[in-house]
Amino acid sequence: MTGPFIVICSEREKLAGLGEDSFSYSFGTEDTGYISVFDGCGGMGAKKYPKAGNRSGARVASKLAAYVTDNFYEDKQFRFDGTDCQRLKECLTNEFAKMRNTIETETGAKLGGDLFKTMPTTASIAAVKINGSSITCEYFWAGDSRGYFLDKDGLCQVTKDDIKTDEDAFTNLRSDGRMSNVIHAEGDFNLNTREIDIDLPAMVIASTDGGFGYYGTPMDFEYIILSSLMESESPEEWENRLSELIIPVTGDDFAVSIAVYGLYDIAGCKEYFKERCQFIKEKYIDTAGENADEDMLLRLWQEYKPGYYRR
Amino acid sequence: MSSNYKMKYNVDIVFVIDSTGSMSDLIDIVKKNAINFHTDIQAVMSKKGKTIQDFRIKVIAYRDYVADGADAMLRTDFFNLPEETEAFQDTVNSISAFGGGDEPEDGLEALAFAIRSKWNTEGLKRRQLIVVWSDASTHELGFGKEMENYPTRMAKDFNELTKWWGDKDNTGYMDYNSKRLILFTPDVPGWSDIRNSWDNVIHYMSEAGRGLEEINYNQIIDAIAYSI
Repeated sequence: MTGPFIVICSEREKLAGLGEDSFSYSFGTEDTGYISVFDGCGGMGAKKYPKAGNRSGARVASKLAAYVTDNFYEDKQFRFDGTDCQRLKECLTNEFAKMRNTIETETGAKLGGDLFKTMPTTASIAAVKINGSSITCEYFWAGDSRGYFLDKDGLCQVTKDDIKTDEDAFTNLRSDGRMSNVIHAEGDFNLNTREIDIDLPAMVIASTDGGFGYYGTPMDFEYIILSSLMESESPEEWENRLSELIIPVTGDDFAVSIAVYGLYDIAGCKEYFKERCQFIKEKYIDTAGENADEDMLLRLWQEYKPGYYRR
Repeated sequence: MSSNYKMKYNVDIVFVIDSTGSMSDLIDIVKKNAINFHTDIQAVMSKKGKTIQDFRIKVIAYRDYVADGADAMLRTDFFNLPEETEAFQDTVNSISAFGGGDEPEDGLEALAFAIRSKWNTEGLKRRQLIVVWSDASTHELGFGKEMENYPTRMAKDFNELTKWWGDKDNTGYMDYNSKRLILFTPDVPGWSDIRNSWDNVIHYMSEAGRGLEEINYNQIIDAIAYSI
């Protein structure tokens, strides 16, 4: 078996030509592949570089990280042997340093402080190896971009946000916690990793905070993924519909990549997830209604939370 | 529930302005743009898809307790914008650049007042910003404490001021996730110490003695909007 059979990547720049989110993905003839998303940090990386077409450090960073990750995959460097994270981090460190040396100039105001980084970006990367009826998934991340899987039991967040305060996904939607770690050109960053086996069928998902971070609850993110699927007849329609649901809500650029394993076409995918979509709608979305108060949302989150963090 | 849930920001900004003689250019920029400030910030925020619900701003103009006596510190309350734009503008227009005495000024006392502002604690998403403009270094806290009008409830030294600012284990007077400190100052004692030891700081380093001529209004608006 090879796969995945469906890959969608919804993304949008809030400002045309100035977007700071990027994605890349690839699936070769062998049973491996990857999806990835990157969110250049506009606040920390607002400095513009004349030698990079006056683009911001944030934009340069997310594009460069996507490029480096794609090369890493094409060079067959995802080996699933416990060394991938260290080697990917070295590649990112080296290429970011090279880019900084290329575009940095002596002119312009000097910037400093912990809110400034040279070419900062978050990352969420999921490299996948197929093993018959399951997959091995290596998640790599930095910052607050997230990696998930979604199976018949619902959405599960696998990554842990790099934020300075220890908050769950519901609380962080409100407090907007400060990131404690991002990829940047000075090199002193962490690339986190976690490897898990996932039974199929399942979706592997990577998203920047623009995708999940502007809803009232984490349940909403699962619901828009599934409801957009239910309203689509092709992967392209799914991609477009997902964007249509995110755009009115998000306050940011966004990139969401989804790879579906163990299901062979959109009809089969819809059929498989139909029951879960209905369950989420009835139990959480409809129960909350249009004007749920905070206590109600918190109570629903407490019911949903054990499944969301089940792995 | 998805489509009805729109995150809105409550934004408080404190302008801390060195108002000694050499700062007249910057003060003129602030005066000239005061009336449009709310609109300009909101415009940049809107482009990023973010909506400001409550927007408040206050001003602290500072000089030197030893050299300037009663003129050493001007503090306003928060103005609600856009409703109180006129009062905000009148206040800004009342600031003029003079005095200062020696080169270091009492910027840390002004920053201490800013940290202890009555911040808005309402709303799901908040930003508490302090924006400092100066072309000079700072005296150590308490340099002017022998003066009659020196404040009584002031941080006694830099360590205490650091506690007032707080960190993730010690909240201080501001919300840890919401606070931001933006410095438009030279890389000189006082400001560089803050940059090197405090969380949630961005420092636009101007050249000492050259004023803030390389910093323009659009940069200021961008720096603030990107910090929200």
